[in-house]
Amino acid sequence: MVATARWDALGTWCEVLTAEDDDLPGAAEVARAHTAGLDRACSAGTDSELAAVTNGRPQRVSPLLAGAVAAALRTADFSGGRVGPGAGWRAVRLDTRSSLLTVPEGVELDVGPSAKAWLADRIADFCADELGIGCLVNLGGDIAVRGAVPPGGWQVEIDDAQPGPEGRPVIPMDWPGGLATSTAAVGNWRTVTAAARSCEHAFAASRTAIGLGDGAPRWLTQRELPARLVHADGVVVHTNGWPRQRWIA
Amino acid sequence: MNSSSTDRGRLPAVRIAGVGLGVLGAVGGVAGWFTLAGGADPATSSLTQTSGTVVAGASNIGQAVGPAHTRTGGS
Repeated sequence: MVATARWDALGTWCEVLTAEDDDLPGAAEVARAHTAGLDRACSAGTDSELAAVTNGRPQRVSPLLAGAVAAALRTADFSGGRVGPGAGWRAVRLDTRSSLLTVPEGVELDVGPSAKAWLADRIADFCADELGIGCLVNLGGDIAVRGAVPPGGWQVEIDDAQPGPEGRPVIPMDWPGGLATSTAAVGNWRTVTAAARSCEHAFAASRTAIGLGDGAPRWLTQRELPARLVHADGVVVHTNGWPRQRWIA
Repeated sequence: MNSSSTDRGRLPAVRIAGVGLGVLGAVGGVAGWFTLAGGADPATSSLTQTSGTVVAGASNIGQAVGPAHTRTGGS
């Protein structure tokens, strides 16, 4: 039976679901430890580890901060610079083997958005690989799935903010990977939800695509990414491989 | 799996998108194509072959299996 724990974390919410009741406490404990660690590493403000290293000198940082910065840089590269962690990110240097991070003075990195997606993957990986727990980890809508899933898959509602008369779409998520949605108040697309082999990749894809105008479906298709895009005028576009969806009131 | 004639032409750039790779992906799978196991929708793939990827209104109504476990978007 599916069990769920949810709490506030990282300026949003964290939800952990396990297919078996008994697995929930362990998975939730892993998630709480990881989210608290990431909060200490790179939360906004002057108290975080990230804030203390923006002085232009190489400094050894925690694995969580190194991982979060690496994810932000990968996302920026993947997006062609469209989704960067702030002005000046190209000057940031990270040696992932030694966890030496150099952030030029005056550069303010905001790694939070991509870090949440990366952390969802990390938590789900840990639960599956180290604890043998199949779970879904949802950090503010950025979803990672690993291991066993309930019969029929995890049922994930796609929240378009403006549901149509048929209700709200729900897809079964039964693959080990990620799902993420980006939302925009202006521009061609209202929402873009992308599926990928990881939550980090899904986040990068949805965040990039939503800023691409009418070229977004082509861009996603060329990268073999199933996606659901809701145009500003309400037209819904699916790219290849989008799961069969049902509707709930 | 509805793509009415009125939808065609509303987003010409979108209609073009994905047709080339879409056909390949739907028919046999491009090498490395990320396929969602089990839940992948053949109806949508079929639509992609013929009219791009525009889907209007209620599509792909599947088997209801209870309420959603969680959600993405809207936050």
